[in-house]
Amino acid sequence: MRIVLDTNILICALITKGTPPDGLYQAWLRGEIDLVTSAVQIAELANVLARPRLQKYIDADEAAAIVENIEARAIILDAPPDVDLSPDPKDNPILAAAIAGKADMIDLAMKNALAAPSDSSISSLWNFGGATADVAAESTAFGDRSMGWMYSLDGVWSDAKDDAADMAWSREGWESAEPYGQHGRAYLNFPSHGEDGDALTRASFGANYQRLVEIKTKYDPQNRFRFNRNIQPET
Amino acid sequence: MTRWNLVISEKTDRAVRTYLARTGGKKGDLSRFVDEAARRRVLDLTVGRVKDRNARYDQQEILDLIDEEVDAARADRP
Repeated sequence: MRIVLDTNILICALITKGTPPDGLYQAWLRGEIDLVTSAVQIAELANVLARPRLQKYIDADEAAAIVENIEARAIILDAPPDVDLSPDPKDNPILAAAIAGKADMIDLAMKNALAAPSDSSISSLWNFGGATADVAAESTAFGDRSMGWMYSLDGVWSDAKDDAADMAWSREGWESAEPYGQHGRAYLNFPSHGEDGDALTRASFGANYQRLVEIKTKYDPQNRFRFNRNIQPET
Repeated sequence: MTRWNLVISEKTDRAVRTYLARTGGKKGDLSRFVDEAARRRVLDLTVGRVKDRNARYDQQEILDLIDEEVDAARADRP
């Protein structure tokens, strides 16, 4: 998978340990992801690493060694296109690198956003990790929290005559993102189409599913609480 | 460009040349292979050393400082 990191995340990946960006760096070292960057971003990396307050964490020689050799591992784009997509114009060079470098999920999220039939629909990437990932999978019903990102596709429209087009967009967008999912999981507060039976529910709770069935069987054997993503009791 | 005179083991020589031959190696590929491997090693060792040294600090403080400095650098940009 190709990824583009904003410069703050890239620097965190390079100089911190045990943080979510460090996890990305380790995945990069293992060859699980390809980092895409640009000459513009490397110039910004050099500029930020040279700022006096960061010298406590990285000296000038170390910064130079990283800036000069990052291209030995990363995919460098010499001249990404000019884009004007971000509400913050200073983010545009990062988006340009993502588009030109075909960073998979950003590319996909933007394609889906541009293809939405309704202006109210949303195609967005959410950052996870950090404190949310500190809780062990077996400690809560939620389960595994190791995912770094969540992709959300919200089909929103108001006129019934648009039903077919907007539902098709939602279904196609969901299918386009599935290859990048984590073990077929979804965030169940965003209930999806409900078209996959209980397979999505089982996959999302993972190893916790059977424990939840046991609790459900004990406290709600008649399945009185059965809204949305239901866990069926064994009775 | 500059020239290196290196002494390496026969085992390494055989392994690298065999790999390059199997992947359709051409003239100059051995130099490129060594150049890229050396640069990756410098990058990896430098990053590893920086990370190990910074592990004693509060990582959240470093993350916050980086956010501030990137914002400041962008604010300075014309």
